[in-house]
Amino acid sequence: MLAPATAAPLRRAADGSLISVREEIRVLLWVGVLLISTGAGLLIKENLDRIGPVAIAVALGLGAAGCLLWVRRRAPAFGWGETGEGDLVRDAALLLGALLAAADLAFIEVKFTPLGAEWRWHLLIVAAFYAALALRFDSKSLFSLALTSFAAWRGVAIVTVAVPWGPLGRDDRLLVEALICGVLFLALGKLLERTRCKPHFEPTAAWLGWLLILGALAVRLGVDDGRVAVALSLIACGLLLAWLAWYERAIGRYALGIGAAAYGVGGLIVHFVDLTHGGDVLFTFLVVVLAAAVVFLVLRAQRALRRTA
Amino acid sequence: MTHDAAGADRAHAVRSAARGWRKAGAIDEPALRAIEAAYPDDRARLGFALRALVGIATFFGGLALTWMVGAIIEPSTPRRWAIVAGLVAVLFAGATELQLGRLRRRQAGAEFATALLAAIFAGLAVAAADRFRSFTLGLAALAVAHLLAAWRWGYATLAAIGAGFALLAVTHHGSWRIVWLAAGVPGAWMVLRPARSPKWPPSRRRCFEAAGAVLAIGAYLAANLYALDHRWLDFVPRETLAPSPTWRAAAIVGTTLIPALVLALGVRFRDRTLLVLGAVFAATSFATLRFYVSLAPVWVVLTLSGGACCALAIALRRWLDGGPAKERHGFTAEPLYEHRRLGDAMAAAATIAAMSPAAREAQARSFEGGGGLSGGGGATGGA
Repeated sequence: MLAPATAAPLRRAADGSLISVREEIRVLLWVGVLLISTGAGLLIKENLDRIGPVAIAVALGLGAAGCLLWVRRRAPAFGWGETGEGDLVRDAALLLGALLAAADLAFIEVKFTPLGAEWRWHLLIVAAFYAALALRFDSKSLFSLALTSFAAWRGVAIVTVAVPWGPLGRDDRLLVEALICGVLFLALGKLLERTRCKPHFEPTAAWLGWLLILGALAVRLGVDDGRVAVALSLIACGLLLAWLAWYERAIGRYALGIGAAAYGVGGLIVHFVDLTHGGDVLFTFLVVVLAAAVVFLVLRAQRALRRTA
Repeated sequence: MTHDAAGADRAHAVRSAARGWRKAGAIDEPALRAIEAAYPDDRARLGFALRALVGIATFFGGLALTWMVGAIIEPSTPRRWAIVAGLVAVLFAGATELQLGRLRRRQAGAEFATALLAAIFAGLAVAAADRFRSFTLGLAALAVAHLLAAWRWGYATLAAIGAGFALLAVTHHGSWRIVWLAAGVPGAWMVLRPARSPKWPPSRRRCFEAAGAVLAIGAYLAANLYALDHRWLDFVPRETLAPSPTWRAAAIVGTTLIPALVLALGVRFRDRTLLVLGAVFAATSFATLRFYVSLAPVWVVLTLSGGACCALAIALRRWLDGGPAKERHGFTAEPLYEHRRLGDAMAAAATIAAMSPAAREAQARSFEGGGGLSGGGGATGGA
């Protein structure tokens, strides 16, 4: 079926006599960057008095500048599209440089307060800095960090809303901020796609945007007050996402939408059973019906996808 | 596994590899079509996201169905509970057989969920029949049920869970640590031999690999000095005395040698699972050493370790790139025809989770200093 010359290297990869450790090297670099940035954070915390703030700020700045200059020398020319396959070491150095620079900025702001009363803007500055680096060096990792830094500036931690069992906010501020950030990210993704400026960043923006919207609503579903309205909103947003994703053939997002809508229906079921004192049998029956509906919808979608493929 | 399912499994592995070859440009479109025609796959498969959604829905739906049956029947004794659990297990096992057989499903989520439910309820039925008196019997039943399910239906997750239950089942015996340690040998053998043998279909090979990895992890945990000193795995407080010097000496040797041994096996046999396990064990042993011997302040250790990781990665890549055709001893740093979409998504999620700055608090307050600990490179800045 294949020419011997073509088959030979494929056979070696298939039978395990040649294996790639590229991903292992990437993970090792990633862990290295994480350890160094964590070490830098501890250095600041534990040695501030001994070393002095100026020395720390200068050391961090030099480290960051060194990394970023090295990356700049090895990076391909800027382009609005994808600028080729990323280099493992260059990507790690870029991430390390960006993290050290952000740490330096935060440290300078804490110790020297150049922003004065406007100190709270520093996370926005970090977000803009990450975004600039992401655009220049075509880094999706930094683009996602730019978005999460922006959300952090608005008081929303992506890790909190990424899991529906996350801690509940005392009020609806988190919900509102997360919804605003989510909509902004979606709009940004569409803008990038339409203007063909780094259109391959769109999935990152869309995923984070929908995650914020649906995650915040799912977290808010745990509060009794206004549960029906939140559940209905979650169902509507989930179905909207599923509908949009269906036309874009974005299967991951379709699954997220259906899952979110099902979670919203689950919230309504809990409310309904509480209201009617329906008991275990009614509750479990409704859960079975809901689960069956989800399976049915997904399998139908899969069949339709296969037909159109 | 049935002959049909094993055949489909092998065909799927070939087709999947061929799509990777095509994506890397190693073969052309007609060659891919020819391979796909020669290895037809008649199974209904879903992508990862849909499979996860269907699996979760089926699992919770199945649990709810069982709960509903229990709420209606209201079994009054453990024996009746055992009968109900046994019947439910048979029901789910039948559903799995139906899906994998007549409905020709594989990697569709639902059949995995019903297989998992069948294994859980089969184990619970035995434990309930024993009136939940014996911890060992309950865990052993769960282990056997999961391992049998893995053998029959070829799910690596079930094999890993089964191996985990098998290890836990012996923890009530005085010599459990020796058993766990000894189990590492068949664990490594399973990863190196049956998991690589073309005699088995790919899914059963993955079962061997997963169960072997769990046994290897168990062996390392049994030997780790920190786990010994802190009684991590002594679930029943039989011994209140500190571990004997002999045990501690053996644990020191084990903590030092096992990572090196596993890494050496991984390199010698070019096995990715053992390489990853060896690296994780080495990192854990290094952290254990740091706990007992304060080599330097934490920030120095972290920074140097990070630097060492980066240096090792760069050196490794350069060394591999410097070999003939960018490979040495069967290893390369070049990508090899593998699908990496899921891996890329996981890497992005890990970056966001570990390196995003902490959220600014709602109420403005004075700085407390610190400049952040990690994640976001300390971009929290006390905000």
